[in-house]
Amino acid sequence: MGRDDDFSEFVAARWPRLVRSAVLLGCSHTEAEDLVQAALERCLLKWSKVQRADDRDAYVHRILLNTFTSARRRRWTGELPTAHPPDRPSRDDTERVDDADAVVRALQRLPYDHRAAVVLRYYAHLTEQQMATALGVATGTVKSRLSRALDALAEDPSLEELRGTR
Amino acid sequence: MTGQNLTDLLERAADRTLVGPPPLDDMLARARHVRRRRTVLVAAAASAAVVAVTVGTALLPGTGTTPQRAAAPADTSVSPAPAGASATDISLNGTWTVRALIGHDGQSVLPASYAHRVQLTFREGTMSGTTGCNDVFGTYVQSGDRGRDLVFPRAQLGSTLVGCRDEPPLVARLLDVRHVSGSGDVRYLHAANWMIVAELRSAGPSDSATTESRPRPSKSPAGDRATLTAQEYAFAVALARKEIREDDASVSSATVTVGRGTVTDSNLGHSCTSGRLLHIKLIGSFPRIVTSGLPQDPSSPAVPGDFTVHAVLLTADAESGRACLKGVQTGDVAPEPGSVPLSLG
Repeated sequence: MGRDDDFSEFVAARWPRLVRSAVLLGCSHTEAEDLVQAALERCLLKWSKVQRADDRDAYVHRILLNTFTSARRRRWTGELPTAHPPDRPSRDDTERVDDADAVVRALQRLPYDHRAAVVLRYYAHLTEQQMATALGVATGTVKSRLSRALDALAEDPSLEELRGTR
Repeated sequence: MTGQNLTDLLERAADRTLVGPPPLDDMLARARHVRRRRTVLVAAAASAAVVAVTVGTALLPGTGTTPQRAAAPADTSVSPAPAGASATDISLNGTWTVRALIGHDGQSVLPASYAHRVQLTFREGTMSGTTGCNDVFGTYVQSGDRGRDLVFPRAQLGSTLVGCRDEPPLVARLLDVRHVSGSGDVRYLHAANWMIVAELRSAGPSDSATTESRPRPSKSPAGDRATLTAQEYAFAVALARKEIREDDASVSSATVTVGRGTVTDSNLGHSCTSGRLLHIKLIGSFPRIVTSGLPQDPSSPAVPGDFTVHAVLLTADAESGRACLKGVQTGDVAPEPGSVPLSLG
């Protein structure tokens, strides 16, 4: 199987989950697709290295996280001058907020390192060893980040409120 | 909150994102574009090195209408190995078989199927070779005490891009090389911490001219080379072939003449001091070489004309076989009267 065929097979199998991981990390839908595409293109340029990697998923997730942090680093988050206020009147969407929305919001409140740990462990289903490779840290650090992230989520008011209403 | 609980919530949150098919064609096309651009950049860097050597270099004495030789040195960005290396220097000149290639983790990254197929040829700052699948090429800079320090500049290092299973990461490992050691037929390439990156075993002399261990026919292969020894003829053939290969040239005529003289203001890094010179003239097409024209008096108006390079002229030391001058000729070109044609096969 050639390099491109192998890559295509890998992408076909992983694309949806990688995009959704990027969404959980904090990207918008279109941003997530762009991010994953950029990460996979970087992988393709060094596909022989990916093929040789001990754990291909961990390697690709690492590239994804690096691409994500690079994109975030470059993004301007300051105030943008505008002639007209961007706010638009809309209907009250409070009722549409479900537990999934609450989880996403709670995730956004976590520090990036903790959020990445949660997404890799509980959505991408990487093992702690794979996470250590993807995050470039020791497994002990992975465990402590996961522990703190779970503590923070357990105390998050929006999740607590959700649990209280169910 | 349990892990399972969190997984369920994450799955539900993620499932709200409708994901379309992956833009595979876009990704593959973009990667091909980047690879092609990298290849072009590497080729451009190689061409620039040739141009730097060539531009500003005038014609050799007696070979054109401008009997003036520029003294500009070769581009130092393609730093050749130290000229005039002493017998105690760790020379890399020649062709070497890569017997071992070690990864960052200390494990071999040379598959058994590639054993004896990976080769590197070093010649005066230029490196070429094969991974057993792709051709690699670049330059190297040897410096320090006895030439122990060695680097392969990233900008000049490249390879062809044929996809092969289990291809050894030769170029990637060469980028880590910082030192060289060894003696006799063995050389070791080391990383900055002196960890061995590669073990090289001599595969024989390089195809360019060297005085050691080169077969020396006792008789000239052509009867009309009365003034040219067999060894000098062999040197001329080797230099011509190397030049053609490096310039990607198409040559219609290759000739050599022998004469007396020395060259100390070399533009290739080596002086010709034996007193006997080989003048090699290659006529043809040299797509990698461009020139701004013949050297002119800055005060005189520019002379328009055909600046296409039609001939490359090499002057080499007849004893060492090393070239010391390189020049180009534009306009009308013709073999030198009385020169000996070279059979380049």
